[in-house]
Amino acid sequence: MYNLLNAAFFRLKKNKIFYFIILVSIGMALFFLYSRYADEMRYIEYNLPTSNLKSTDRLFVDNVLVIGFLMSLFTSLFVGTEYSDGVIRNKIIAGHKRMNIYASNFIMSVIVGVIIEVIYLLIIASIGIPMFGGIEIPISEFLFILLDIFMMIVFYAAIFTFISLICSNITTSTVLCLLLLLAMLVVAALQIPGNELLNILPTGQGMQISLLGYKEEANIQLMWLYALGITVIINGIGGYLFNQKELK
Amino acid sequence: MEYILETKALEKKYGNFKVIDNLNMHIQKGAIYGLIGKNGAGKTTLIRLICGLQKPTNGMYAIYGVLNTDKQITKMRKRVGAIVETPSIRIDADAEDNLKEQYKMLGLPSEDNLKEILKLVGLSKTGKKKAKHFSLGMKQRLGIAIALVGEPDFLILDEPINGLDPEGIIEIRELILKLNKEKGITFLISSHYLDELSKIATHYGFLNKGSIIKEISKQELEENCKKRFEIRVSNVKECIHYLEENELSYEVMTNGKINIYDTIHISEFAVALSKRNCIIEEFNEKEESLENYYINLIGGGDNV
Repeated sequence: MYNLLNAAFFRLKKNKIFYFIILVSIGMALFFLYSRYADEMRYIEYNLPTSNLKSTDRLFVDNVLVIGFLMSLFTSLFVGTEYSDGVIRNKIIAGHKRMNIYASNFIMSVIVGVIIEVIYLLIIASIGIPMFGGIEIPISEFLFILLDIFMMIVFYAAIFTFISLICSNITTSTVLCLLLLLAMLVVAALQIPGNELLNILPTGQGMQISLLGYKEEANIQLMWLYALGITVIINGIGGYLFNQKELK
Repeated sequence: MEYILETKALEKKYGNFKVIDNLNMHIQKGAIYGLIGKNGAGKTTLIRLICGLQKPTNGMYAIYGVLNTDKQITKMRKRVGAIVETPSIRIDADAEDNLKEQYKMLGLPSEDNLKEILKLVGLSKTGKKKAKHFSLGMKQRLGIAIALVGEPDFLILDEPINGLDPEGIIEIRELILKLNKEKGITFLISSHYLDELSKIATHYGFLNKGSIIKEISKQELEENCKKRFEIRVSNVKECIHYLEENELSYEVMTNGKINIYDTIHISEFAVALSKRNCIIEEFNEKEESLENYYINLIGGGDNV
């Protein structure tokens, strides 16, 4: 497993999609900060009460609905290239177990998701807190939200790794990942707050996290457990199917 | 006999269609085993099974004596390198990076012989040129280089000269011979380019409709293919006496015909036999190529 991850990191360092999604994440953080700053300037210009402005807390969760898109793009293309270049074949011929190949791809997807999220959080924290003030919600609640965000990333990684490894065509898997993400977004958007479906879809979780201002409606303290449970199920099924898969 | 690879009654079904059917195969250490079969005969499927990409429906295979059902088979695979259909290379990376990734994947602590491998396959001067700009022959050689990283003693090459120009074919052929002689690597090479295969193979396996219908060494094949006169005579005993007296190489076939492998002067031969009350009833001059041998083996032109 270590060797597979070591080789994957070597490839990641030279992967253009990886740098692209990092740039998007940085750009997104800077854009939200600028929007908040521009709002503040307008409020001051028109003498409006700045207490109605978006809190720094909200800035920390503004990106959650975009993470899924970035991860679907990265995972499907990173794993898909392994298929199209024949690297998965090489790994099996070299004596690596299929379960380890599956797990290493899942871990890479999680790591990349975590990297882009940490970069986003660091930018918001280092610029947003000094400019717009500290976190207003209780710290325990904020930590739960962070836990939910990181588990949602793990959840997304499980879904996109599953599709990308079960479907061996890079184009098909990329389209499937994006379509599924869109479908999950639409389904989540149609649910009323409190609906159970919002907990079992990563997009639903993202929506609950992003609605920080209406936290009484959100399932902040249990959401990560849903993500963990469903991730285990998806990985179990995915690992089994990949183990049975006839490769070319 | 030490076999690097052995299969017994191997079978692979897709639905109800048997692609590999009761296949028995034996590859000796140090051999260059040419797997010959037309398109669709099951060559690539067989290689996929051996490489662990697919699972057999029935039967077994053993690599270095370890059965495919044994958990140790993954360890044995580390001693095998393979190119299945197309070389597994990263087209967006240069030759060196392709090899470096393989070193990491195999967990090899040192990349000391990287340059040596690139030199061996003739890619030491490609620098930062990405693999996508390589010729087909270079890609094929890079694929072999990647397969060589783990210092395997068994290399499986599926149609290694497909699509190559004459120069590329020569390069691959020389590389295979070099690796076999200098590094002692055993090869399994599938191809339907019989003439090309006949230049390197030491053993042949003829595959038809998913089964190996004949395994034969190069020596045996040459015996079978060499120029000969095939005759049917009225008096086999007298004919043999004549051949013995004149120290001519011959073989009496089960169908009563005699194969003569030395050059003879036909009219003198006919006169000499008639003096011994032996008449030549049938006379054919035969010289088989590997291609003819294969066609005869699989049952004539209808099967090709």
